[in-house]
Amino acid sequence: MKSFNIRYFIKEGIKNIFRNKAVSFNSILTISLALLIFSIFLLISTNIRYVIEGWESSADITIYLVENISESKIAELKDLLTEEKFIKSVKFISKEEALKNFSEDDDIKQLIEILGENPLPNILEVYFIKDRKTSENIALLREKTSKYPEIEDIQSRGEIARILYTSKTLGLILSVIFLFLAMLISSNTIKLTVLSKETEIEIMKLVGATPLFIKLPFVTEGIIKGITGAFLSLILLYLLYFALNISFDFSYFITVNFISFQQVLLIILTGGLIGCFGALVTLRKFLKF
Amino acid sequence: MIKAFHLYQIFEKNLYALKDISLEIEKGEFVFLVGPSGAGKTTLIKLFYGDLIPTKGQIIVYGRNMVRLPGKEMPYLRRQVGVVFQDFKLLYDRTVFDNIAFVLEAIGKDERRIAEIITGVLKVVNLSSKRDVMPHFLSGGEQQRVAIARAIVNDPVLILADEPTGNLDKKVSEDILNIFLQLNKKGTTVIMATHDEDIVKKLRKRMIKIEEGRIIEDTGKTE
Repeated sequence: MKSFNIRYFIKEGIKNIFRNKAVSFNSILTISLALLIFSIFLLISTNIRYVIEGWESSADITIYLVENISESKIAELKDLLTEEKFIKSVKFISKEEALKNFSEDDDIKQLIEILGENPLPNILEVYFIKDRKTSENIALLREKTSKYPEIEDIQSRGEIARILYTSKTLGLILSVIFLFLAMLISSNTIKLTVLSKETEIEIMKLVGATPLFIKLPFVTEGIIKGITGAFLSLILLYLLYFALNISFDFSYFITVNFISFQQVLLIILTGGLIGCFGALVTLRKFLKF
Repeated sequence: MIKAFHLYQIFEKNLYALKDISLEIEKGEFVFLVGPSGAGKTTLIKLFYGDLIPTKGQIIVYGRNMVRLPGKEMPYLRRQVGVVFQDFKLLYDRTVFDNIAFVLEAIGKDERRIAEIITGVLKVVNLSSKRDVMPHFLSGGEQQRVAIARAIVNDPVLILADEPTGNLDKKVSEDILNIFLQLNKKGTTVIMATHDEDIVKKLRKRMIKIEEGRIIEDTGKTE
């Protein structure tokens, strides 16, 4: 193509959108809702990751102990654990020590001031010998310590991460399904434009317009719809985020973060791609050369 | 301009739209394609602008073998050919000007030149005053003139007209025919399908008569 006039294709794409206003609006709305689901998922997983990263200790296993545990019980537990060959070391961290570690964190310091007491638990951090952290060994430890009422909970590292990972996968699958549906709906509305322009397309072929020239306005139509949908979903997401932050305003240690700039770009890009592929699917089916 | 060798167009088993058509049309000729409805005139014209590919046989249009022409090149061949139909095929949601401008845009013509070209072409078909009118408000003859303007706006070397006067009365038909004759005088090859043999007899141009998919008469090149 000699003169490639991008302005023409954008103009035609916009004309196509306005030719069928109600239908176009519906498809933009569908795209934006699908993207909203995707972006809510991004918002949640990003925020949970921040929390987990901040809270999870580096120990292989963390044993939470009751508040008023005696020195002798701690020593007894320590001995019991170090007895096992696969354990490298066991470290007791009292709630006072934990508080000292945490006091660099302003949010938590504030929280503790408000509570007037130390909410942190006494813990035993258990470190395994390299490569010996197997589920059998962990089960063995659980069994061995089960008769101690001084133990409140045992958590192995990666457990939270694993739950998070599973829910992340689920969220992603759900997002992909909705995005795919949005693409189909967008593709359908473009089909309507193609059908309503049958004579126009016939004449264009007749007078020697190239297939690319005939197809591009539909592709720009799709991309414009997709990107508009993306912006709409970002506005909705921001409103949601704003509402969340207001309702969490009294809470000192939960700060909801907005999705990152890269994620915003990702959503806009996804919107554009949905529209683009929707158009291509339709053109493959309805525009034969 | 056109050379055809033993063309067959078979649509379904035993449905022969064209049978063994061979012909040669030279540059600058004016040819009438006559015959009753359903004789195969439209099918033959479709072969001339590549809307159909013959089932059998060879056809060369403006030096290009239509059977072997890659799809990519078809648009560029079509820019050399202007086609006019009985039912005009105008776009009724835009003015006369935009109906023609649309063609120029479709082949990527420079926007600044479009107005200039259209002014010229509307003069040829004598429609300068209707430039900004919607096609609905035009008579049949005027609509066909818009269609002709659209067909010739690229300066085609070949004009194909499929029953262009089929929907028009006698007086108007003559006007349309005169436009084609004028274009032919300037060197454009014109092929016009019609079942109105009166027009043909009066003009004494080359006439190819088709019946049931076969050429039954060809008066050959005149003048």
